[in-house]
Amino acid sequence: MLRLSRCYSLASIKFVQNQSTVFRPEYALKCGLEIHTQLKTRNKLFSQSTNSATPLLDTPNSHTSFYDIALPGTQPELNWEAVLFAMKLSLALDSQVNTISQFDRKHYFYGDQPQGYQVTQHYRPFARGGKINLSKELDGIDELSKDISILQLQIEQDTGKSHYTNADKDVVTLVDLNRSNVPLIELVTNPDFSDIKQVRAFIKKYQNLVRHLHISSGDLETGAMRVDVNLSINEFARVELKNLPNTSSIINAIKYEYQRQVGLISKGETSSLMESETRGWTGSSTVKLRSKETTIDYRYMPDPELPYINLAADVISGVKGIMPQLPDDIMKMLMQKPFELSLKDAKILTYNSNQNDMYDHEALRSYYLKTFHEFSKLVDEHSSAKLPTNWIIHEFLGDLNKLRIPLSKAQKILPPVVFAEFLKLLHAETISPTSSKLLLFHILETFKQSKCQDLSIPDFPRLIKEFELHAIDNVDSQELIGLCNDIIVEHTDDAFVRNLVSGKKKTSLKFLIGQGMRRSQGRIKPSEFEKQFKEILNIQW
Amino acid sequence: MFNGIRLCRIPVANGLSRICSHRLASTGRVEIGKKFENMDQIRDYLSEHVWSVHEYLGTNLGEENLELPPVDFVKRLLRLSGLPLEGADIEGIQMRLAKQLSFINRMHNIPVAGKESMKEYDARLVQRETAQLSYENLLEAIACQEQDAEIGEVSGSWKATELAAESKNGYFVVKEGLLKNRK
Repeated sequence: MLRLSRCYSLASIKFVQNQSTVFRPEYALKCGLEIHTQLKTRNKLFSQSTNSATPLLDTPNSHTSFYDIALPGTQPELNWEAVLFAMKLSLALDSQVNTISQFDRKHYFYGDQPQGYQVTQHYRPFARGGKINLSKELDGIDELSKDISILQLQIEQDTGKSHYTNADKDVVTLVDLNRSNVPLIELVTNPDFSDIKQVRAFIKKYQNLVRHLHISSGDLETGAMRVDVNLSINEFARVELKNLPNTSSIINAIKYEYQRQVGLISKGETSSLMESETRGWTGSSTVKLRSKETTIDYRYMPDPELPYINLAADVISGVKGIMPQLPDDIMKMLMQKPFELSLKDAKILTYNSNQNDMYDHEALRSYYLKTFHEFSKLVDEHSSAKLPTNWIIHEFLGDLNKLRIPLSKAQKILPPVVFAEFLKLLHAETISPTSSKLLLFHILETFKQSKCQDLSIPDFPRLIKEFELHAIDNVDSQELIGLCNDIIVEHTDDAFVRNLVSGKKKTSLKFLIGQGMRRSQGRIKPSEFEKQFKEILNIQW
Repeated sequence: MFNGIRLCRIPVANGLSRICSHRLASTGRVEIGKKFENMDQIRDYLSEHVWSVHEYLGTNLGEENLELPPVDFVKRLLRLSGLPLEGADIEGIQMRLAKQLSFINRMHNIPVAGKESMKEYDARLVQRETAQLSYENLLEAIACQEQDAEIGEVSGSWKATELAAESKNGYFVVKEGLLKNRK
C-alpha cells in the first residue's frame, strides 16, 4: 500500500510502464470499453465518396464529396453496405438487432467536424445486448470463463483529421476531411472487466472478429479501431480514459489510473473521485481533460433528413445465412480430433495478425484443411495428424517467408493433393525429415528462380533419385561403426564420455546423433545412430 | 403540415440541383415537380406566398409581449456554438430567439391529423413512413451504389480546398483560436 500511494503522491516520480501492478481485492477495479471501429465499406456512410483503405498515403481532401465537407444544400443518403456490416457484427456478438433504428444529430463544434454535428444513433441504436466470451483455455484469462456483455452497437460517421502545426509562430490547425463521414460502429460494453488480462483478451478477440468478418482492418495504429476506457474503483465515480492509440497505451493507462485512484483512496483524498471526469493519456500519465461541470451538452435530435432504418425480419435470417464460422468455433474445431492442434498453431490458422504479407490466415487454414483431408485419404491413420501441422505451419511457411513467395503462388505447384503426396513420402520414411526439408526448400527455391512462372508440379521420385535423398534402409554396419567412431574421436573427450555413459548428461547422446545425421545428410535414421553409439560406448541406460 | 411540401428539380450548373432530384427520387413519396426552364420561373415560384409567417407568429403578438430568454441562457448558447461573447449583441439575440421560440411554440400547437397514431420516429422532413427493406432489397441497394462526379464523389474530381479562403498543401486551415482557449 505504501508503495502504491507513494508512487502517485510524488508527482515528480514518473510511472514506470513495465512495473508490475498489484490489483488488490479491497480495491475492486471495474472497467468498461467504448470501441470505435472504422468499417471498410467501399464508400462512405452518407455519400458515395471513396472510403480509402490507405488513409496515410492519400492526398489530403481528395476523397471528399460536397456532402463530406458540408457544402450548404447537400443531403445525406445512407450507404447500405454499412448496415450489412453492422448486421454481421451484431449477429457475431449475439446482439439483439433493432429492426427499426434511427439516426440522430450530436451537436458540437470542432474544426474537423464541418457540419457542426455528427450523425450517430442515440435514441434507437442499431443493436442492443450480446456478449463476447473469454476463456482460460483460448484467451488466457485467470477465470475459467467470463462473459463481457455488450450494452449497444450504433452506426455513426467519423470526423475529419486535425494536424496541429506551428507555422511561422502562428499556430494553425490543418484539416483533412478524407476521413469525414467514414462509417464507424461504436460498441459499448458493460463495466464487466475486473482485470487487465480480460481487457487485453477482449481487445484482441474483438479485433480479430472484425477482421474475420471482413468489416474492418481493426488496426489500432492507423486509428481504424479506437478504444476508450471507463474505469472506477470501489464504486467511486467513473473516469473515462481517452487518447489511447494502441494496446500498450490502453493497458498502461489503466494500470496508472488504478494506482492513482488507489493512492487517493488510501489517503482518504476521495473528493476528486466523487464526480466523473474525462482524462487523457500522455504516454506516461493520465491528465484531466474535463469534469462534469464542463460536460458538453450535445443537444441530440433525430436527423430530419434521414429516414429511419426499417429492416424486414428476413434481413436477419439472410445475413445469418452468409455468416462465416466464428473464430472460437474454428479454434475449438482445430484443437479437437482429428487435428489436435496446439493453441498456438490453432491461433495461426484462425487469427489475422495483418502482419504477414506472404499469406492470410484464411487461405492458410483452407490449405491446411484440404491437405489434411488429402493426406488422411492416403495414410488412413489418426496418429499421423501432426505431420500436416508441422510441415505446413512450420516448415512450409518458414520457407515461404524466407524465399518471399506468397502462398497463393506456391499453391500452384504444391496444391493440397501434391503436398499430401509429399507428406506420404515422409510418413512412409521414404525420405528422412532432414532430406525432406532440403527437398521442399529446393522445390520452392527453383520455383522462385523461375520468377514463379514455372508451374510444373514437382516429380518427387525423380528428385529423390536425382539428389540421392532416399533414406537408407540397409545401412552397412561397418560403415556406420566407422562413422560413429569418427564422430566420437572428433567431438568428445574423457569427461564427455564419462558423463554420458553414467547417465549424468543424457542429452549428450542427442548431440552425437545430430552429428551423425549431419554427416549422413539425414539419410540414416536417428534410431540407427542411437543404437550404434550406445553399443560402442557401452551405454546401459 | 408536411403534406404541402413540394420540391423541384432546378437546372443550375453547379451540381447541387442534381442532389435534390437524386435524393428525392430515393425517398419515394415526396412530389417532384415539373422541371424549371429558367431563373424567372424559379423566382416566380419562390415569390409565391403559400403561407405567411404572421399566420404562425400571430400579428397581434407585439414584441413587447414576447418572453425574452435570460441573458445567461443566451451566453450559454453562444459558448455552445463557439461564438464570441465579446461584442455580442445580447439584447438583439434575445429578441430574435424569443421570436423563434414563439414561432416553434405555435407550430407545436397546430392540430395535426392522425397525431395520436403517429410514431415519433416518423417525424421527418422526408417521407413519414419508411418502407421495410428486405434482404434482397438490401443487397440490391448495395450493388447499385455508384459514385457521382457531379457531387464530388469521385476521388480527385474536384479540389475541395479551392472553395476555402485559406488552405495549405491541400489542407483546410483552421485558426487555433477556434479550437482551443475558447471563451
